Amino acid sequence: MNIIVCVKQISHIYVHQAFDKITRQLTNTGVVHTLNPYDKVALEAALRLREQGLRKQDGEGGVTVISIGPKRVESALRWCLAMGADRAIHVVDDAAPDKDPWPIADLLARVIQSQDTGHDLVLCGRKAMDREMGQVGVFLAELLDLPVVTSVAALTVEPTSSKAMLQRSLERGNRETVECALPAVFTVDKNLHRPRYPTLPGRAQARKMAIERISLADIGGERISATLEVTTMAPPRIRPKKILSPDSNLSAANRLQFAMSGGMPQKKGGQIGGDPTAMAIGIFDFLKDRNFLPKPNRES
Amino acid sequence: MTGILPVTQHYAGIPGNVWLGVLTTIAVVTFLIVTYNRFRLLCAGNKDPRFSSVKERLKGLVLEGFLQRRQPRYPVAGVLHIVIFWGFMVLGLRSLNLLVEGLFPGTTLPFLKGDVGVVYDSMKDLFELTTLAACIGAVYHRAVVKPKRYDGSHRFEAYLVLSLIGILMLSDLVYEGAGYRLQAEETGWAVGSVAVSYGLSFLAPQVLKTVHVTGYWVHMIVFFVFLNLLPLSKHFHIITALPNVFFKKQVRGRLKPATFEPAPITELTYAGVGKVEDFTWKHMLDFFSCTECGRCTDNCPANLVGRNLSPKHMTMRLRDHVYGTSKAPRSTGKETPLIGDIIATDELWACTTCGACEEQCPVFIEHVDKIVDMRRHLVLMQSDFPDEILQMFRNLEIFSDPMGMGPARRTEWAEGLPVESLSKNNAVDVVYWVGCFAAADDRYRSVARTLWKIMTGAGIRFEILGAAERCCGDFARRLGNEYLFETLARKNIEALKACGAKQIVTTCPHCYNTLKNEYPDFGLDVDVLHHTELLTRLIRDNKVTFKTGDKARITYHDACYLGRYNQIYLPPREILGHIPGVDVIEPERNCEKGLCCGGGGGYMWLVEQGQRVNEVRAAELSTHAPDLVATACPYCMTMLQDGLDRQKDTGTPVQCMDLMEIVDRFMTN
Repeated sequence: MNIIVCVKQISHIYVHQAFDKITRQLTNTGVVHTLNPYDKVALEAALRLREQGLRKQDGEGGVTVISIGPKRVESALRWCLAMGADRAIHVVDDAAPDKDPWPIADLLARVIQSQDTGHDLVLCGRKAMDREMGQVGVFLAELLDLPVVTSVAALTVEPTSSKAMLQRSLERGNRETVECALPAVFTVDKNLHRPRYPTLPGRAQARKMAIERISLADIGGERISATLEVTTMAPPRIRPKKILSPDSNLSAANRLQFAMSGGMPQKKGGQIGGDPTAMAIGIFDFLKDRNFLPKPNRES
Repeated sequence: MTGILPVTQHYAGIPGNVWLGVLTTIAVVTFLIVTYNRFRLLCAGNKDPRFSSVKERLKGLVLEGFLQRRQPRYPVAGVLHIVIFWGFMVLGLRSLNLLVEGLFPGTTLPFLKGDVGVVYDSMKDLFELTTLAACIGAVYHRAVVKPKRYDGSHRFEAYLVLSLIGILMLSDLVYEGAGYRLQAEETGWAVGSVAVSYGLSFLAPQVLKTVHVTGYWVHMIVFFVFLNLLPLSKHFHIITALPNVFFKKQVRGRLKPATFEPAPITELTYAGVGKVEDFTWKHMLDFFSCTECGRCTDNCPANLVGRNLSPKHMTMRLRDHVYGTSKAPRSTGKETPLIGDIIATDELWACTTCGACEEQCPVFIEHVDKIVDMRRHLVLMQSDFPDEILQMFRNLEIFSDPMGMGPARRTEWAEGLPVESLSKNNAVDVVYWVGCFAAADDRYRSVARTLWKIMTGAGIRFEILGAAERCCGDFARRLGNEYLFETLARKNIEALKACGAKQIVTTCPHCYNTLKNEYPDFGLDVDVLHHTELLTRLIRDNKVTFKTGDKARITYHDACYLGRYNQIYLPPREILGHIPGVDVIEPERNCEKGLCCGGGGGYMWLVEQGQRVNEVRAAELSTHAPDLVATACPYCMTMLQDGLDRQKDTGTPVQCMDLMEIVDRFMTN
C-alpha cells in the first residue's frame, strides 16, 4: 500500500514577531518554522497503517512525504523521515503561493501523478495552522479524481478489502461514520492520533536518507496562476473590555464616551477559593455586601 | 608469643600447618574464582574515564574512605560503623599474622616483631573489645531500634556477618587468653586477653589447651568463611567500597554524557541504558558496593511522598540482575529488558534528580546518573515518556524555551531598562544569562530586574544575549532527551563564544550548574557565577550596604542545584547574616539534607500523583512561622509559593522571595 502524505512547514503564529523593543528594529528572530501539527498527525496515521502490514501483494509499499517550499522546508521533511517516512519529496519553489490553495493542490497533484509507484491513499492535514484555509486536500482530490473525506477522527483500513472505515468529527462532538473506497484523499483532524516523537535511531536514519528534490520543470513547468489574492491582513484589534450592557445609570454623554473608547471597565469579578466552609462564607459575604439578602426582620 | 602453636600438633597424623595450608588454598582459590567472575562483570561494563586527577581522588579516599566523613550523619550507625571499620583495618593484620604464624611456625610478619609487636598486641586487644561491643550495638540497632531504612535489606546476611565478626573477635581473645594462662605469662598491656586469661583460670591445663587450640581453628575457619562470603553478599563493599570512593565523580553537578567518545549525539544510533551491559564499569562497581543501608531512600523526596521509587531497592534489583540471580536470569540467553521488567517506568519518572541519595551515600553510589541513563533509553530509543513532557520538548525544539514564549520575547523583562542586548561592535566581559524562567515568568522577572539594579548600582556593566539565548537544556537533559540538550547546548556555546564573554552571571541554579559543570564537555570555558556568589562579593566589598530598622525572620530553603550539586551552602547564609534585623531560622532539613522543592529533574512539567513534595516542604519551612521564605532558584520559588499558598492553618500565606529581592528590600539605595 502506497501512502502519500502532503505536509506543510508553517510559520508559527504564536510567537510575537519581529519588533525588538530594545533595538527598536524589525527582526526575524521571532519567526519560527515548524511542521504543521495536523500534517504530523496525517503522517502518524500513514505510519500506523504501514505498521499494520498493509502492503500490496505484488510489492513494497511505503509512506512518501511531499512538501512544497524553499530550502528551509527540508528540516520539516527531515522530521518526517525521523518519524519513519520512507521517502521525502521536496518540490523546490522559493515563492510558493501559500496564500492560494489552488496552485498548491495543482503542484501536489502533478507530483503525485508523476510518481511511478502509484498511490492507494493520500493523507493531508485538515488545515494548516498558519493560514487555516483547509482546502488543499479537497482540491487535490478533485484534481486526482478521487473521493475525499474531510476531518477524519478515526481511520481503519481492512487488510483484505480496499476500502476504509472512517469517522468524521462534526460539531459538538458528534461523529459520522463513513465508508470509502480506496484510493482516496483523507484530510485528518488533530485528534486522530498522537504523533510519535522521533527516536535517536530514527533521527540518525533520517540524516542519512536523501530528500528527492523536484523542480517545477520536472513536473510540467510553471505553476498555474493564483486565483486568490490577499489584499490586506489586519492584526487582531485590541479586544474591548467585555460588558454585557452599558450601565443605565450613566448619563448619555458618559455612555457615548465609553462606547467610543472601546468599552467600559469590566465589572470586577473574583473567584472564591478554599475549603467548602470558606467558600460558603465567601458567597454569603458577597451576597450580603451587594444587598441581595433580605433585610433582617426588625419586628421579630 | 604463645608457646603452644596449634599448628604444630598433628591431626589424623598430618601436621596442623599442612591442614591449614590446604584450608588456605581452598578458601583463597574459591574466593579468587568468585571475585574474578565479579571482576569480569565489571569489565563488561561500558567505558568511563575515571583515572584522571589522582591527587584529588586520593584526598577523597582518605577523607571519605578512611576517615568515613559521611558516616556520622547518622550518629548511631555511623559511629558503630567507624569502630568496626577501624577494627577491620587493625585486626585484618592480626588475622594475617595468625595465618602466617600458622603456615610457617616460628615466623611472624616482619613488621610485628619486637616492641612494635608489643604495642600492636595491646592495641589490637583494645580494638577487639571495641569491635565486639560495636557488633553487639549494631545487632541491637537492627533488631530493637529497627530504623525504617533497613526495610527490604538482607537481614539474615547482616546478622550473619555481625556474628561472624563477633566470633572472630571472641575466638582470638579466647585463643590468646588461654595461651597466656597455659604459659602463666603476664603481658600487661593486652588487656582483653589478660582479662580472658583470668576468666579461664579455673580450667584444668588439659582443657585449657583444647580451648586454646579450638580458639585458633575457629578463628581461622571463620576468617576464611568470611572471606568467601564477601563477594557473595552485600558485604562485598568491604572490598569494593574504597575503590568506589576513589573513583567517585569529581564534578558533582556534571551528568554523565551519553557517550565518552568525542562524537556529537547526531552521530549516535544508540544511547542510554536499556540492558545491563550498557551500564559503565563504575556503575557496576556501584552495584557491588551497595550495603543496603537505605540512607538514599531515607532522604529521597519521591519516596517521602509515596511515589514508587526507592534508590536502595533500585540498586539492589539492578545488582541482583547483574549477578544473574534475579527472577529472570540472564543465563537463559533471552535478554531481559531492564526497563519494564526490572525497573518500572514510573520509578524512573518519579525522580526529581535532587541528588539527596547521592549526597548521603557513604560509598558514593551514583543513582541519578543511572536513572537519567535509563530515561535516555526510554526517550531516545523507545520514544516512551509521560504525555505531558511532549509539549515541553516541542516548545524547546520550536521556540527554544520550555514555556513556548519564543525568542522575540526573551528581552521583555528588561522593558524600560537600558539593558544592552549583545552589541556586536565590542566584546563584553560580563554576560547575564537570563534563563527561560526570568524571561518568561511574571513573578520571577522582578528578580532579573533587581539584579540589573544591584549590578548597575555596583558599577558592573553587563549585557544579555537577548534572542540568541536559548534554554540551557537542563530539563531536557534530566528528562533523558540528550539530543535536544546537546542541540541547545551547542547553539548556546556558539553564541557565548561569539560575544567573547569572560564571565557569566546567572540567577537560576539550573542554568548555573549546566553552564558551569556540563557545558565544558562541549567546549565552553568561562567563569560562571551564581547571583548569590556575586552578592556575597558585593557585600564584602561594601558595594551593597544595608539599612537598619526593618526586622524579619527568614527561613532559607537550599536549592538542590546550588547546594548539593555546587556546594553553595554558605554564601546565601552569609548574605542574610549581613543584613541587620534579619533572623535566619534554619528549617529542620537544611544544607546537604535539604528537601527538594519537587520541581527539579523536569518535575516542573510533570504531573505529580498523590502527595506533593512542595507542600511537604512548604509545611516544613513554615513550622517556625517565618515572615519570609528565601530561596535562590526560580523553580524552588514557584514550587514553594504554591506549597505555601496551600498551607491551611496559616492565615495569609507566607511569601517566598528570592535572595536578590530580599537584599534589595533591605539595602540602602
